[in-house]
Amino acid sequence: MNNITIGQYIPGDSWLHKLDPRIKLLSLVVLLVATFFIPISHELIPLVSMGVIFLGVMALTYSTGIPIRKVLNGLKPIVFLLTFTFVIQVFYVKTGDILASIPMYISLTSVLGIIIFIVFYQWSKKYVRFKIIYFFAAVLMVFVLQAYLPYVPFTSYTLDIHTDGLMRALFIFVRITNVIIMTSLLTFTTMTTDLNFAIEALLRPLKVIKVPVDVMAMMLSLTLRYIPTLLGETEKIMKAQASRGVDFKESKFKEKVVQIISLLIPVFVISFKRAEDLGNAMEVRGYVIGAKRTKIDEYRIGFSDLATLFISFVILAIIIVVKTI
Amino acid sequence: MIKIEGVSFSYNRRDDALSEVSLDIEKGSWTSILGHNGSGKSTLSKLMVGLLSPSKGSIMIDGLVLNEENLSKIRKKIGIVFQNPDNQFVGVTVKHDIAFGLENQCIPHDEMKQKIMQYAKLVNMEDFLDKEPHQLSGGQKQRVAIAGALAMEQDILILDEATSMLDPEGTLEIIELIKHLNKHLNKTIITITHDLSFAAQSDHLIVLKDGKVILEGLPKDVFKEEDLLKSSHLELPFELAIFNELVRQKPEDKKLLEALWAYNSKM
Amino acid sequence: MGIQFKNVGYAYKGFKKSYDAIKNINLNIESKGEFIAIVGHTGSGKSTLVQHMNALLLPNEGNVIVFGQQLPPKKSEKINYLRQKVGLVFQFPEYQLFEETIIKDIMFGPKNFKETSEHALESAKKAASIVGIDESLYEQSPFRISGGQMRRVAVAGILAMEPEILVLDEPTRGLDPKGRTDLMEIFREIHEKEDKTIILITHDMDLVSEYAKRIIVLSEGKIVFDGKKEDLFAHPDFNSYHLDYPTPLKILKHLEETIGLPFVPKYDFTSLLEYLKEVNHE
Repeated sequence: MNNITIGQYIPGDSWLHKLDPRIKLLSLVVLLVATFFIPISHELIPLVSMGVIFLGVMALTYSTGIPIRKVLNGLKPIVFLLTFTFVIQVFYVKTGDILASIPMYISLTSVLGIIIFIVFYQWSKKYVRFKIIYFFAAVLMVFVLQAYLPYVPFTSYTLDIHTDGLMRALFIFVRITNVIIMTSLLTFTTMTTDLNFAIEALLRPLKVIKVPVDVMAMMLSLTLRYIPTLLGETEKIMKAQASRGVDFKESKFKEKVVQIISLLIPVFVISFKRAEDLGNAMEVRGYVIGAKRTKIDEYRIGFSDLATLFISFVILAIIIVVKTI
Repeated sequence: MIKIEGVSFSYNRRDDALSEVSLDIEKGSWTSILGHNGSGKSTLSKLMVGLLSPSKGSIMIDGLVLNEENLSKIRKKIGIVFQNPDNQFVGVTVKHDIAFGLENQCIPHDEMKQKIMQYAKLVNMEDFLDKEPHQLSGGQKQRVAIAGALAMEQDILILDEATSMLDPEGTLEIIELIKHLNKHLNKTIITITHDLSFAAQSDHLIVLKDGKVILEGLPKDVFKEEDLLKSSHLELPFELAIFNELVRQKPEDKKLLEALWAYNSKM
Repeated sequence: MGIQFKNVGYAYKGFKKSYDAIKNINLNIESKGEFIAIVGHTGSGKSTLVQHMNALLLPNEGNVIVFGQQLPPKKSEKINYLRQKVGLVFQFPEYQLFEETIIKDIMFGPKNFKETSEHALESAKKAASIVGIDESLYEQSPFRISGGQMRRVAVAGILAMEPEILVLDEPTRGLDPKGRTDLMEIFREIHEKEDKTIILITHDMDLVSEYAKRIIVLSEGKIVFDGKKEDLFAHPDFNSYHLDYPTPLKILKHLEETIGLPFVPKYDFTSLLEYLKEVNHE
């Protein structure tokens, strides 16, 4: 149980680690807005801007001391999305010069080849270290097979790769990568408690329109505190029910429904009891919803914080200005 | 310090969880309230901290009548540690949890820092301030809960079955801490328990059964009433039970009985 | 048959490194007649050890053989049936209750092992009466009874599966004294009547002394003692096990020191009482 930590915080000493969490969050928001402000296009200026941002992000990552591999692993969940958008752009953008024109065949041999290859891929991927790159290579292979196995054709089509298509695909790819890496850097360098504080601070202006920010912050804090505990309890209940014969691998669908209920209900029961006990404990310790409270956490905004925020806004301003030109 | 007079309480308007209970608790004493599950002991503790209000009777804490008006003043005098170490740990870390009560009282930041360190040291958790609750044992979590209550600097502390869910190591830690709080810091301590070995070490015992007080007094006097205790689903600790049995069956052997009694007092 | 451990090791894969929970475990447990207490400091590996007995955990090293089934099993072998043969009651088992009625909850185990509804009902009723849950409670919600009753319903849920070996992880934790005694007596009766092997994890040396025949002591994931309870308390290395002596022995030691009463080990209330009544001392 001791090795679960909430969130993805990686301890470190870099300037990014030491930055005030509110500034980090606000800067991230500003930079994300800036990144999305650059319109998707194949033209030079947007491409260069996106590329510069990418270089900046890489430099930032390097400065935090967090291994690049870890950061790139954050792309794993969206690898499909990346590939899909890339392929769509290459296939459907018909402007610009034609870079290559490749006849592609959907034939018996190519289909068989693809199926055999997919089976091979599924089996072999556990032996490969760089899984994301292997995935991209596999997708490429699917198309290569279509180009080189024309025997016994059903139908064929021509893949025209236009420069614009390639450029746009590259643009979107780099943009998504930038966004993911920037967000990951935030979660890697900020402790969950600090993030919590940052979110609360940023939401505070909403108090003016009577949004119960303090209560929401307390709810968020309690949720974060209880996630590892609940995970542990869920695991214990799964084991207890497994000892009564619940086995997801060896059971039929109908049985699975009851089995899930046997996991959910105890978790709910524990949580309701917890809510009651917790409410009592908080009340006895003087907590009154909505009342004024002091805070043990103290954050000081220093020069580097202000500088970072300033630079973020400057970047946003530059991009807006360039866009309007 | 605490004066409870004729208090009754019912959860469902039919059966009384507590029925006309009256008792006094002296300042600086360590009282244990014993009883079987369902005897009303938890109800009593919740009444004492104002989480419930009696349907009949009154409660006075240090001269103040326990009512809605005085509730916030009373909460500064009496604190409570509950049974489930996980269900009262509010903070994301030990430091935040001890701070919780102080934050509610709007204590200024620097004073909070100093108090947290002071009370964490008292319960031997000063090296754990940044640890998260799931990294702690049950005993450690309960020590943090006690630190949190102590930090509010209340004179009275109730421990409601605070060791029931702990293993023997954890239980021992808490017992030592309680003894220290009572003897050296003069806190008025009320422990609610069904463990008679634990209760044997306190100054004063109150036994509840089915919502009524059936026994009260010094431990050694209460323990003589074996039948009454049995009817309350309470069992004498092994060594006391052997002693009582030998008193009955071999009363002439004074030497043996004295030696056995000495063993009991050693605890 | 029974359960054998052959050089078993299990490590938890932590965030950065793995951590050995148990190592070099060699054990032989008969399928009938044993009453074993497993003791050891917190974190010594007791829970990890017993979770290998019903295949909840599979060893990283070595083999466990449960009623002839080798663990880890071969690729396609099914092992769920082992959980019916070795019934495991966890700590605070009342957390596993979830059904609409008590009788349905007790039937949950047997039904998962493919018993017909009628047979499951039979087994459930038998188990309910063993733990002292009266017929009048059968249709009640398991959430509307006392904590002690909930514990007994949960235990009945395992007994209803009619396991051949019963494993109990601190079954009396959190119960009041009467609840504790009542529950342990139920287990003692099952052991004596059906000659069932019972394995008990506990921290309470008095419970060990009163009920167990064989004691296994774990320390830092390894077995440091496996033998008769009489041999454990007289063992020269006893102090290194960080265990407490059971109260009857503590009393006898005290009496030997203070009034010269000859020390003869006694392990439970009745035999201690008899001894003290008869013995002559200086």
